[in-house]
Amino acid sequence: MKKKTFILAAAVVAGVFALLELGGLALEIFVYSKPKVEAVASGVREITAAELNRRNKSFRSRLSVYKPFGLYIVVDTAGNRLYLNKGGTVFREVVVSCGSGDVLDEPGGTRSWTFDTPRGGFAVQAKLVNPTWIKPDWAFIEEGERPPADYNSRIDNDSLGEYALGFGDGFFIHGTLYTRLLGRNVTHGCIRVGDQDLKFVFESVGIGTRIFIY
Amino acid sequence: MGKRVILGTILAAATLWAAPQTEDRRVLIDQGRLLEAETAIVKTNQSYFFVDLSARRIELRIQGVVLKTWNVAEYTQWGRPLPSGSFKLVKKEALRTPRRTNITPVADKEKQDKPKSSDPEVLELKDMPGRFSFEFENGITIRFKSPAKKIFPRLGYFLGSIGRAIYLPLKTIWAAVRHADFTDIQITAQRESDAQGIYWTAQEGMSVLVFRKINYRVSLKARRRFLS
Repeated sequence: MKKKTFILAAAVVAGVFALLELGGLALEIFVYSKPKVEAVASGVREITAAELNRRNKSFRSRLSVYKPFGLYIVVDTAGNRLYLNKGGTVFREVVVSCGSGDVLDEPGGTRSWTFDTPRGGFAVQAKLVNPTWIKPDWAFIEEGERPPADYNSRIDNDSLGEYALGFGDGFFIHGTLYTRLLGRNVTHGCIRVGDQDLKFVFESVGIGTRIFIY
Repeated sequence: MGKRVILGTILAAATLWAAPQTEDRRVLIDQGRLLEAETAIVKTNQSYFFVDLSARRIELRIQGVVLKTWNVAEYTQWGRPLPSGSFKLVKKEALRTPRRTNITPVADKEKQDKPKSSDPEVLELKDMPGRFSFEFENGITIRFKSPAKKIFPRLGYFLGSIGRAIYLPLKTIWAAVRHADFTDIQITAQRESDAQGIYWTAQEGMSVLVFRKINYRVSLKARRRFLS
């Protein structure tokens, strides 16, 4: 008796299941296979394939204007890699450190910082040798200190290494003291590079070199 | 009899010639639409996805440059076929969303007293979910999943699949009855790290260009409704 009930229940479940699948599929075929057709005024001449090809070619040439020619930098923030590209070919792969994604809230204040490396298209705006870091407020708050009013107290000559490439909004590709953390997401948004690689990157690029970060 | 055979041959040849022509035109129109959308996006300096379902490939692009390519192992779809076009990613959702670490400011003296952890608490690729969904406008959802190795995630995925096998047909029926927009695509990534990479890269508000060859079957009824 129990066995029969079990078989019956299983058959009912399988039947409902099959009905749902078939019903859904049937609807998909008969209802959704009709696409939303765009309105075209009657009497308007159909564009020929040749015309469409010409139009697409024109779009492609407009697109190619935006593509970088020559050398450009690509940064993979997930893999912590920097690639030097020329004509679409990678000629140097560098292990770097990118933003940690951590959040810092100002104790008793309203300010908050998220330490992400910015993503998108940028360009090298500054090339600095023996760069000086003017520590922003968050650098003090993170250490449990009050940001100083005195400008000289913010100057740090050691943290950025020998070279730095600025790409806007206070973000740099620079050297690091923490080489053992290369390959990890540990920075405050800047891109840290090892000494030897940094020298090569610095010497290869010029002001205006495009940087793509993802 | 001879005339009929010639006429029949001509008609058959014309039909055979016309079918791929229409298909080609459709593809060219879709390509044109995508190129037009891409031309507008490249001016913004923002990255965007180019999803080519026919080639089973997802590309991350910026200003026309392909930065990263992920291969799609397989994909399934319920609801209205997703047409080629540009879509805005409204929301990315996951059961287990990665959480950012809040830094607690510690004074130097306290820091010296505390033993230093060798593993910094940071957000990395391995923290990203391997199963998630992207919500777009017009009821379009793209779900991503990746092959799970461990027994419990596999069991969870299996149960989830059963749930979707019931829910999606019901949703399809419901949407069809109400003439609502509904498209649900499930993409299986080749590796877990691929799915995690897509989640890492995706940002709400970014554009997604979808290219897909669809066999458009426009019925006479639909044509009449469209022409009226």
